[in-house]
Formats: sequence, C-alpha cells, structure tokens
Amino acid sequence: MNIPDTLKKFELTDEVLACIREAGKVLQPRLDDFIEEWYKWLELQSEFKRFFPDPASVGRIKQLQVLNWREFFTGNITDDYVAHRRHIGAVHARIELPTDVYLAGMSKSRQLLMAELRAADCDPERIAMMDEAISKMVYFDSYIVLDTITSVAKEKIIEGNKAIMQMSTPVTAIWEGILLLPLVGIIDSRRAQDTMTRSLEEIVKSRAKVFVIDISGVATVDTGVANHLIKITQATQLMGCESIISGISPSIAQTLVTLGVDVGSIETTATLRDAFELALKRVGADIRKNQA
Amino acid sequence: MVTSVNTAGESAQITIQQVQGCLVAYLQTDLTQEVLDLLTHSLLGRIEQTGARGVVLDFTGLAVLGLPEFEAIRRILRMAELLGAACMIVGLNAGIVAYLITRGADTRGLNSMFGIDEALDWFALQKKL
Repeated sequence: MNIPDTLKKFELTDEVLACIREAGKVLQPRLDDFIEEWYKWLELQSEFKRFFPDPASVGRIKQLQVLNWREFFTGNITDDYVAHRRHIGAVHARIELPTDVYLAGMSKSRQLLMAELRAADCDPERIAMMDEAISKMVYFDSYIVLDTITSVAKEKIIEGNKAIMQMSTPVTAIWEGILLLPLVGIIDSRRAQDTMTRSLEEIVKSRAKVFVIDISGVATVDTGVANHLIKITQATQLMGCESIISGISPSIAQTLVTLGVDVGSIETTATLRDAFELALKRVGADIRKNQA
Repeated sequence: MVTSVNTAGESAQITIQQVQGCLVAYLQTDLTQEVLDLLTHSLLGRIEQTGARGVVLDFTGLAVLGLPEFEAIRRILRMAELLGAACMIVGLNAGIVAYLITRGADTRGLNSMFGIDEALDWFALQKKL
C-alpha cells in the first residue's frame, strides 16, 4: 500500500491529522469509559457469545483495543500503523468475524467518541471538525481491515482451488513407466489446460512411456471435451510418451462418430483393464498367471 | 564410431554428431531464420554424405520455441524423410509442449522421445539403422 496516495484519497491531510491529535488530547483520558460503553453495545449483539466465549479473552481484547485507539489518536500514520490494522484484519479473517459486525462496531465507535467529545464541553465548531477528522480516520482504518479480510479470503479461495485441482488431476504411477489419470466430472477448457500442464510435469518427473487417461467417470463427452483430450494426448506424445484413452463407452463412441471427431492415431479402449494390458505390453512387461 | 562436425556461420552454430549411424543435431541456440537455414543445409547435406537412416533433433538446450519455428522444424524433418531418414525429436520441455499444443501445433506423424538414448534404442529396435 502506498501510504501517501491512500491518505490523499481519504483526504487525511496534515490539518485533519492535527485535528485527530487534538481530539486525542480530549479523548485519551476517557478511552477506558469509551471502551466500556462500546462493550455494552457489543454484548447486545447476537454474535457476542460466539466470538467472546470467556471473560478472560474479553479483558485481553479490551486492553488491545485501548492500545489501538491510543495509536489512532497519535495521528501518525506509518508503516507500523498500517501493519497493526492489517494484523487486526487478519485476525478477523481467521476467526471469520462477519464484516457487518466489524463495520457496525466502527460506526458505533465513532458515535461513542463523538458523545465523549460533546461531554468534554469543547467548542462546537472544533467538535464538528474533530468529528469529520475522526470519521475520515475510521473509514481509513476500516478500509485497511476490510482489504486484509478480502485478501485473506481470496488467498483461501486460491488455495482451495489449488487443492481441488490437485484432487481433480490425480496422475498416479501404476507401473514402472506407466501413468494413470482417472478423469471424473466435467472437463472445461481451464481444467483441460491444468490437466495438460500437470500431466506433462508428471511425465517429465517419472519419464513414463505410457500415459493412460481413463474417462469412464467423465460426465459428458462432446466435441469440446474430445478436443481437449486429443490435445492432452498430442502433448504427451510430443514429450515421447504414448497415450491410451480408456473408458470409452458405446454411447461415447457413438457420440464421437456422430460428431465427426477424428481421434487420429490415439489408442482407445473400452475398459481400464484393456488399457492397462496394452500399456504393459508397450513397456515390455510380461505378466503371466502363477501356475503353482 | 562417433564423428563430430561443427558447422559455424557468422553468428549461427549447430552441432551435428554421428552416433551409432544416426545423425544427432543439438539445437541450443535461438532458432532464427539463419539458424534454421543452416540446419536445413547442414542436416540434409550430412544425410546425403553419410547415408544415415536416422535423424535425432535434440531440443534439450532450448528454453523457448514458437509455433513458426516449430513448423519450420517440421518442414526440415519432412525433407529429411524424403531423403530416406526416419526422424525423431527429443528433449522438448513441458512448457514448450503445452504452449505448442495450446496454439494448435500440428504434431501428426512426429516421433518423439525423452532423450537421445531412448531415441537411439528405438532406432536400433526398428532396425532402421
């Protein structure tokens, strides 16, 4: 985050930050009262017990909040300041605090701080200026926290997608020089691309000679899916690894011929058993029944 | 017996070795038009000179290969086949392969293997030598 640019966006000028410090002089001695009032509000929220199960944790969080607001009223926005807000965001993301609770809490904070300012018997004109300054800072803090929550959520989604992709492309060595990829579900171009990349990586790693793709679990095989499969087999062949597509059901065979899909020189079998047998022959394995 | 020939132009260089009666060309530099012309000229000339019945193009040292260069390589291989040599490409990395296939490269009829040893074994097995 570019701090000067962001401060400019939120109109947090030197004058506004000076106003924050002025408000801080009035509010710092009243912070404990403000926190107590804020917790009275929080206890009324339905989420309170879920996120604050015991008094010990409430006490600890109260202390942290006092420190947080003290830093707020220094009006000194540094890398450390931003890092502390990002930490708060990360913690909220980890405990999955709903953003409505967080934003409602910040709104309530601003409201309570204003009440404390009014109670301090300040000049009404200065109060209005301090109100504006506090509002801008509250928005700025909220932005950093919410931005962090969003980033953490995005990271979780990316990690989840990666895990799903790993699970959806389970390339396994089933014999010396033979890799098996059982495909299940729907194959779209994104999955086909990832499958190709991962399959090629595995082929390089294992120096496999035969790559069996079992499509008996693929939901639908149409022209698009067939083209994806053909591309994967072409790629493996270009690496020097022969491909066999197994699990071609009569209906898939019918569809492919009706659609005019040319599978070229790709070997296909009806069952995985047939493909495995063919693959064993290709790698020169000689399997015989034990007569004893 | 292994004989080695190094063909150097002003800025292009290709190494072609004869291994077990097979010509192995190592492509380790960017495939500019100059390099491709040099490869065509040297490889076809060497096939004619030696009567080699097998050609291996080794891409192991190549990090990048575009579609036009790949198609040019295919044309060179077809020419070599017209001279009676069976051709094999080896050592293409996964990134190049994924790129070529995604861009719709025509790979029909191409023979590929992981490395030179496998290719030479294959030639021996096919009794092409």
